[in-house]
Amino acid sequence: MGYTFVGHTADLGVVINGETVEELMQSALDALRDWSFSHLSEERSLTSFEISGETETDLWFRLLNELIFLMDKNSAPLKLNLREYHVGRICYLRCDLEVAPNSKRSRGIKAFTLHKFGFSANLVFDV
Amino acid sequence: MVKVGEYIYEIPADAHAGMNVPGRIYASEAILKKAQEDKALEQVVNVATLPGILKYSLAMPDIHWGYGFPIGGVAAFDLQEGVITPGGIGFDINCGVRMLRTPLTINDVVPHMDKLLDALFREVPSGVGSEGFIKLRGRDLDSVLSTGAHWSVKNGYGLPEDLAHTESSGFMSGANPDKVSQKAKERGSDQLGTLGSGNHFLEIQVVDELFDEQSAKKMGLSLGQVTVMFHTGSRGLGHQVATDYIEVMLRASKKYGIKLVDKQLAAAPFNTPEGQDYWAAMQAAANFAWANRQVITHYIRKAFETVFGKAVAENLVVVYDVAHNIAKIEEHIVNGNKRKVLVHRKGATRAFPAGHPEVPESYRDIGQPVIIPGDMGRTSFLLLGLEGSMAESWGSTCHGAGRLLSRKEAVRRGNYGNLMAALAEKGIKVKSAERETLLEEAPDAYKDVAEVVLVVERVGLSKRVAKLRPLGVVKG
Repeated sequence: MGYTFVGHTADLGVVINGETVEELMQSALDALRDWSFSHLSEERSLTSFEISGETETDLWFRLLNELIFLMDKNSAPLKLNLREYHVGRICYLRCDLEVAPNSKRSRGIKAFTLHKFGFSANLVFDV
Repeated sequence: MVKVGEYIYEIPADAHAGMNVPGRIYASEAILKKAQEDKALEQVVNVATLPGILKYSLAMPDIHWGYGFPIGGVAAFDLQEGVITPGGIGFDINCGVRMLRTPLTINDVVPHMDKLLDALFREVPSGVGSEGFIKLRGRDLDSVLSTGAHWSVKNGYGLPEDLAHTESSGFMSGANPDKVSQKAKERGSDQLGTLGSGNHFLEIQVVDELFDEQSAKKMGLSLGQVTVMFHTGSRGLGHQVATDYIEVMLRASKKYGIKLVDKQLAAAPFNTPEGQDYWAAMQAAANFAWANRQVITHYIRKAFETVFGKAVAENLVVVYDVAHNIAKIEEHIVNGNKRKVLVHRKGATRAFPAGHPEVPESYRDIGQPVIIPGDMGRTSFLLLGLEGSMAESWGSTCHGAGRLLSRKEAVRRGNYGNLMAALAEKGIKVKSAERETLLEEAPDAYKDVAEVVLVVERVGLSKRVAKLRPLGVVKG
């Protein structure tokens, strides 16, 4: 689990790692928060999301943009608890998110772009 | 890639499957070489595959890798057969630049620079999460979205003559606030009159060199005169409009059978409900940006009044205001006939020549002013649109220097102390909310804008009038 920032001339690229979808989402959230906030407040609050879409990409697009919307209001995302995640004819997710409201941002993120969005996996074979 | 003229390169329409028109890049050899290092040229090709594109997929010399279109990308689409795409406009809808002239000289201003920067930093909130002094709710916000800079002037944030020197007089008439989501309105409600962060800036500059004294005089400019330039757009509201409509466009692309070579070019035919909804929302966001730059102008005058008194503040005149992330319906010549087309400018500036009816009357005999910011350590330029832009580039030219290094690389290579020392050596003072932003925006992170404007001048899109040197910088 974790993330690495990768170079992009004008924007910010991130490679996220995780063994589960929840871990991947947590890594994305950690990257967004660490890039954007210079100080986290002591305050805590809990918010929930229910997101649906036609594809798994829709779920990620909407979740990340919800996070960006919260961050625009200076709420730093801390911990994501994925309660449901379903990918099928209809895709949906339900999650709780702990945030630190009134935190201090030092850098802004406008939007999630879908550019180069995709999944990869590490495979190790015994030979 | 074929060199078809001095500083003009072409990717033939048969070079890649699906291209409807050739790609055309205005660049020096060095700029072209840099563009080949990432995906910017591939993006020129991708744009050429969009339905209804006319003549060329164009790229200005400040080309770099962007979202959908390259930054510096220009394309025009047929109103019946063509599409509209957020990828050709950008997330910061109507990001643009405004330039003001002052009645002061460098000798008047430099002794008071610290005080002036403090006043500007106080009056024009900058940095992420910054809130303006105006809280917009309900009808007021809708009125901003409908009438743009006119709302600002009507509410005491500026002068009627400011509007005459603003592209499109500071508003687009097709805006519909009902097509802007509640979420977008929420993001924008506290942000009117704020600069933002990243590459947005406010600079005190001096006219350092004149290339066309007559035109400069017409714009009220002379050597040694102090000017103000600032760069900002539609803030969170515009970002959210783009985000909202990218989803709409992805669905529309499927619905209308648009073959996308890149999802970032998700589009809808212009004359469909989806295309028209985005068009109305984009205009609303563009209006928000013009209102924002107009309100900032008011607070810049207030800051100057604090330091230099009322008489100086009253003589801060808007030279011009340009949009560089926008789509517009304009009249152009296509196959010998005058017709209306939808021009997308993504990191590109309108550059109409002398005589064009959309150039303000006061500049009609010299052409439309084009404001090209450089970087905080070198120079910016004031250009004028030329006839060549109408024939070549849908009345467009470049928009800035264009990034050379990623933000990460700029921070990795940079050193805050060294940067501050280098700027101080050039007589440039800086006031910034964040140190890291300064490193990301360091001069070395950008191409030399002088090379970029030289290319657009050589190919006849626009010509240099004045070179502007920074004296004081406010960064978010």
